[in-house]
Amino acid sequence: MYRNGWLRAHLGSVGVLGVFLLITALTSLYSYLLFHTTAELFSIIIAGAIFIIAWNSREYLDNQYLLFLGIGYLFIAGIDLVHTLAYSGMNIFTGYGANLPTQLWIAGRSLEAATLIAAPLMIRRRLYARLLGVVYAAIFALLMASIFWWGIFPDCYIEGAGLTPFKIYAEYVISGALALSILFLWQRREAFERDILDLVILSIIATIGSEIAFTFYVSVYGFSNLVGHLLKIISFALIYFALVESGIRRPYDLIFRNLKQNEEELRRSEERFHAIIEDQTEFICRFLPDGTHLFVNEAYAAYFDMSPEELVGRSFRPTIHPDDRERVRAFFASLSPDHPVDSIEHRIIMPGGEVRWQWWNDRAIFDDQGHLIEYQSVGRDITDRKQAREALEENRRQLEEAMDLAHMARWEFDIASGIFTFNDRFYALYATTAGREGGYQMPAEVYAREFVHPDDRHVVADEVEKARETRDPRFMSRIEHRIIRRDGEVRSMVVRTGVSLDEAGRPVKTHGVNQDITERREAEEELQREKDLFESTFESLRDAAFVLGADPVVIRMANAAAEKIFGYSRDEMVGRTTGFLHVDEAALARFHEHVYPFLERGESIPRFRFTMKRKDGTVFPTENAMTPLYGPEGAHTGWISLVRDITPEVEAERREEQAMRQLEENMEQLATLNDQIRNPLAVIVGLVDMDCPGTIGAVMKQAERINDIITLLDAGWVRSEKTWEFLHRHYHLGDETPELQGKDTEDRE
Amino acid sequence: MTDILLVDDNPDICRIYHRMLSKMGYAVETVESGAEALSGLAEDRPALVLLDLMMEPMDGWEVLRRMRADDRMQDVPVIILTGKMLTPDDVLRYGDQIHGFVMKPLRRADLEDVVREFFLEAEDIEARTRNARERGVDEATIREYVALRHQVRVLTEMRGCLDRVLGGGDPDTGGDRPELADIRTRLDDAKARLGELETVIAG
Repeated sequence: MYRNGWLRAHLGSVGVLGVFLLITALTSLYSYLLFHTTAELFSIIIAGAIFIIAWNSREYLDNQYLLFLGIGYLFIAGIDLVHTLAYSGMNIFTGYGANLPTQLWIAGRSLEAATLIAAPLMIRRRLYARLLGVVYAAIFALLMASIFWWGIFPDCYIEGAGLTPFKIYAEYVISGALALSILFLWQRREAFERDILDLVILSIIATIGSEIAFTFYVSVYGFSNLVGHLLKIISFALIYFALVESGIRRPYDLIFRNLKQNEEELRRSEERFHAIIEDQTEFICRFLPDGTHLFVNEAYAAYFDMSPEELVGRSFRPTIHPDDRERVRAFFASLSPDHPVDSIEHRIIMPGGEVRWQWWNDRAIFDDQGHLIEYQSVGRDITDRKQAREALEENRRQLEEAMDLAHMARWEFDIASGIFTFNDRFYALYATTAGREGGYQMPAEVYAREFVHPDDRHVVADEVEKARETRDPRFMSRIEHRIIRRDGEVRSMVVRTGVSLDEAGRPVKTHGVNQDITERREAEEELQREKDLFESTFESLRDAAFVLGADPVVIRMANAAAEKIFGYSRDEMVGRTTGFLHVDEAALARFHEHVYPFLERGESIPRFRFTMKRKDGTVFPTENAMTPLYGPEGAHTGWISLVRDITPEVEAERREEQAMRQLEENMEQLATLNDQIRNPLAVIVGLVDMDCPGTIGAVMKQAERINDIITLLDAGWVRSEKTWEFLHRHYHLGDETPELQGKDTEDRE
Repeated sequence: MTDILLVDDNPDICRIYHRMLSKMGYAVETVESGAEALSGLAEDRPALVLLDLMMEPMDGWEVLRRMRADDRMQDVPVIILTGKMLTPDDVLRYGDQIHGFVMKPLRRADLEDVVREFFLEAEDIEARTRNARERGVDEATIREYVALRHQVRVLTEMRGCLDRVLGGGDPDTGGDRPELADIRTRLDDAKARLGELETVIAG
């Protein structure tokens, strides 16, 4: 194929060559000298062309062989030119005869053969073209000198004797050398493209043919001479073709082929690139400053539930969250030719209203004048990551808060070095700072000396020892000890410690949390004190006191007075409902009917009297104070019940009432008595005054004496009346106090 | 027309006082129980009622309460005539409902003084109020003036009576006896108000 290809490509040239060869051959019919001159000049021109092409295309030549030939052929052509000029009949170099052109011929062919042998050897070597030119020039000069000046070049043609044996053998040697050059060439054939190799070999074969022809000729104008020259032209032309092919045509082909390959590669690369872009889960887009999208990948379009076609060529701006708009605007404004790339995280509002977080890496593209042309962006949805991060942050914050609230701080202890590693929170707990303590690390003995309460140091030391000796990976200890903070305050700490073991199961580190429990401890103590106070108060009450449940109304606690008043032991009362303390079921029902309406209305229950029953069955009057108890959520959880045995009071009241009633009766009688005495007195005074005016003075005197006595009684009565009224008003003496009537004891005091 | 209705469950007293008052020229009716008194008052309106307190079954205070609750007799003047000593509480409770107070036993002259002074006082009040009415003083002011005139007199009498019984102290100021402090306050207030009204009534 390639041969056909080559032939087709050079068909014109081959045709021209054929025509030229024919014309050249025909010129011999007119003048052999013309023929020779034309043929030689033609081969010289070809050789010059060979040099020019080789020299100028040397950078494109695959190997250095043809360049070597090109340079060599220039000097061969030089010798051939002299040969042509020296040819018989040219009459330029007179006095040399036919020997001179033959010598020059042999010199030229020798140089040609040497070139063709040497060239394959140079294929793999670096060729210093200029140096080679100098070498050839030197050889050329030596050859010329040996022929023209020194005359030492062997004779090749002797007039009358013909070709000298030297000439003939030289031709054979040259032919052999040429054959050898073919061999060399063949051995290095992989350095050539096949058709080039063929052309060169054909050229050498033509040269060999030419040489063989010359060994036959008798006359320089002979037929074999003609064939030899034509073959020489062919030989040169073939080298020329080879050079044109590999130095000009092929490089261009190569360039175009490379171009095509590059194009193909580019296309495939673009396809791969496109596939990569489309396979990305990240959003990729390009857009103009006005928002018109030039490109979006599938991922980007799908994110907005659209197709790329719907987006490209259109102005589309996702709705930026209002809180982020200013920041996004400033971000894009910050991109400049000096700072064209940056990234940003912001929220967008999806078409459905959902708020999502995005990360974008944006590149602003500017023209040479620094004008913004477009943006190229790569982004992704980071909502989940953001939420996870926020959740993590929230957790961390909550943990920090929890630790703050709980007055807790972490620490670590390296067992080998005996050094604690603390942190700011820890130091804050100890009312100090890392700056003050000289860093976050502190030897154990320093910590113990500086912060642990002297009385508790052994507790800490024992615990450290335990942790040091444990082989239990789940080792966890809890101790409490006091510390002395930097500000001198003594605080209570609870310390929880765990260990980290090495591969051999030996503890290498302990770590733990210290918690300041001073307030809790104080609160606990306060609570205990309050509890003790409550219990002692409860116990010391003279009234029977009960702590009752809400439903059922079970006795949870009873005091000593309750035992004394009701006659039951505490064990007999606690755990039972209160019915057994009442006279009967009906009384219990009345009790509840009285109490619960107050509870339902949320009113406090005034003290009230109620008859209750002792263990021995005796019924006795009581005064009850019921206070509901409520739980943290406001639910009614029980009662505090105080029961006072008011038997003595009731008895006293009864006696008092009796006395008052008697007093009242007496007073009433006194008042009546006074009136009853005054009435007859009034009658006597009246009658005497009316009927015996003469005696009225004496009677009146007596009457007034009686009246004065009664008046004394009056005074006593008035005062008693006043006292009575006072007692009534302020002490309710003589009032009835019915059972179940609320009774405010304050009025009595 | 009856001038004076005497209510007392003691018939001798009724008889004696009837004679005394009749001799003074008054038309006098006597009844011996509260019930009779109320029924009589319902039919005939006297110029003055003399009322005993210690009566059975209805005592004098009850009669007074019923009178004051009854439109037909609520403004009939009442002078208490009793042998029972008053309490400060009685004074405070009834002092503004009665027009005089007098203790038994009393001589004819004393009774005549009491009744005469009452009517003279009544006439004086009548004269002053008539004059005031003519000058256009409003009826409420006049009524208040009349009530205060009686109240001041009665409270003064009652306090004097209590003072005599309890002994000592300054009868004008109520002395230093704490049990009479309320009466003194009431009296002072009434006098002060009466002083104000006197200028209105007198013009």
